[in-house]
Amino acid sequence: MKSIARLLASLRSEQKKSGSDYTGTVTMVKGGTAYVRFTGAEISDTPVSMSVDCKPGDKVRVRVANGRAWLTGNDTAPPTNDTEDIAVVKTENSALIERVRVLEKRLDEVPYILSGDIGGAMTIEPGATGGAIGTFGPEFLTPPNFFTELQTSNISPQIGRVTVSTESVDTRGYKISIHNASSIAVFVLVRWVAIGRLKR
Amino acid sequence: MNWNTGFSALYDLKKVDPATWMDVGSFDFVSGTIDRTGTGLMESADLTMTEDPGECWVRVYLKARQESSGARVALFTGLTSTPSRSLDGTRITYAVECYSVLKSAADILVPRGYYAPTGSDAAQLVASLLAVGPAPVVVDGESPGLSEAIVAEDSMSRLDVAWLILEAIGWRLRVTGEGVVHICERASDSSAVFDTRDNDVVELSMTDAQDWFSVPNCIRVLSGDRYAEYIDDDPNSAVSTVSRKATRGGSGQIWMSDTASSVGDGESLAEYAMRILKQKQEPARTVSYSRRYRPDVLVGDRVTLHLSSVGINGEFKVTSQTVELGYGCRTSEEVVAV
Repeated sequence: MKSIARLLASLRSEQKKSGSDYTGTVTMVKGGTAYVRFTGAEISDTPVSMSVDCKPGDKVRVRVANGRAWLTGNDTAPPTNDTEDIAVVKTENSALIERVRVLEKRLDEVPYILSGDIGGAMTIEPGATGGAIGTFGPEFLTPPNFFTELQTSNISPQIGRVTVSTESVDTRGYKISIHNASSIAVFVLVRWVAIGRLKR
Repeated sequence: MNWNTGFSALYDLKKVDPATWMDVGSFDFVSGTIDRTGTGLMESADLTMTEDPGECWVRVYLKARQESSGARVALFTGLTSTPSRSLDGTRITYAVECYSVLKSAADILVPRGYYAPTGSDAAQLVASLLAVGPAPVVVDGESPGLSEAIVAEDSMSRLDVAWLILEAIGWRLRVTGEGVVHICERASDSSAVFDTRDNDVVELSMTDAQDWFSVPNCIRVLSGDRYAEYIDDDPNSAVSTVSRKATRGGSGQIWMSDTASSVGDGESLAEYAMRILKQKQEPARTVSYSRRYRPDVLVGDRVTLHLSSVGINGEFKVTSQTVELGYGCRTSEEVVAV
């Protein structure tokens, strides 16, 4: 009987050194130590080495072995989690989209549609009446050239005609728009100039 | 009472009041043995009794008699458990297992998430962990603080955590026959000298084992982002790489690794590596023998052996004892060279 008791004691002792895994909530972070309240624990905030980044309130995974404890995972913000980055991108995109909407709304007041990619050929199209009114070459895409072209083209709803390159078309009822979100700055500049010019 | 000469032995078995820790009654018993080790519960006793004691605390005394003197010393105090009966037609005897006074601490798990804080008084912490049973717990001396927090696992009892803390600070437990738990430093001086002249108490039959091949002489220690290596190349060490190279014709390196779970306060990783390697090298030479009982020698204590005729000299640490509650209180002991 004695030897069995010893054997059980030995086995129990070995079992205790195998290591254990826990989940818990970070209550405080100080230096390289996170203080974690293990799930079900009532009295203590256990110090855990911060092998994984965390902040108070995070749900974390902890391993304890040989008297040491360290984080093995952060369920709230896992290392591969790009939620925050995505949120930032969404915010930025939302702002961009909003700016585009504002500009488009204002462009609705302008009777011309300027379509095409900045860096490529662009076209002024009629809004409701249909029919292209002209094509601009790449040299047109540099704002100063564009402004010059607009100015020299004599775009004016009041006049009712616009001259682009060698063509002269009726511009009454036309809109101007630029569809290129990545060039929004240029777009804004161009549009304001265009609007300003068109409203004269 | 001179423990170096022969004595006659009688034994008493007393019932102990857990509230006062004093003897309150007596039992009869036929025979028994007491086992002592350096880990876990540290000691246990098996008694053959003529009555069923039930579950209670008992204490075993040795009454030693010499020509003109005598002594009564406590050998063991513990909790009786799981008695079973043997019947031979005319008599009934009870085989009683007795657990050590540390059983209470071994039965209670620490709370989930329990930890020993950095810088805390380690010995006092151990005392508080062990103070769940009736046995008095005493801290001998001033203990160092903990250099790092020690976190307990769910399955750990209060006793398990106590051992973890003691390992971290390099201290030990010493349980006396009266059932008093002492928390103290590891022994550095010999409690007794055994020789062939004035202290001739060791029986001639001995075992001297040298297990060098399982004993490391190189260690690497990892602690977070810190790393240390230590190689024992001391030519005076029988297990060093130098000594083994001479005897084995090879590099003679036997490595071990450690995760530095018990670095002492103010101890560098290199110092820790040296300390741990020395501890792991202790079992290199194990000597087993039987001798007369000495009340001042318990497990964890050191003894000096001067047995030149059989080539056993030096200091040894007691790792286990078995005390026969019979003629002469014969004690079988195992010691390792330190």
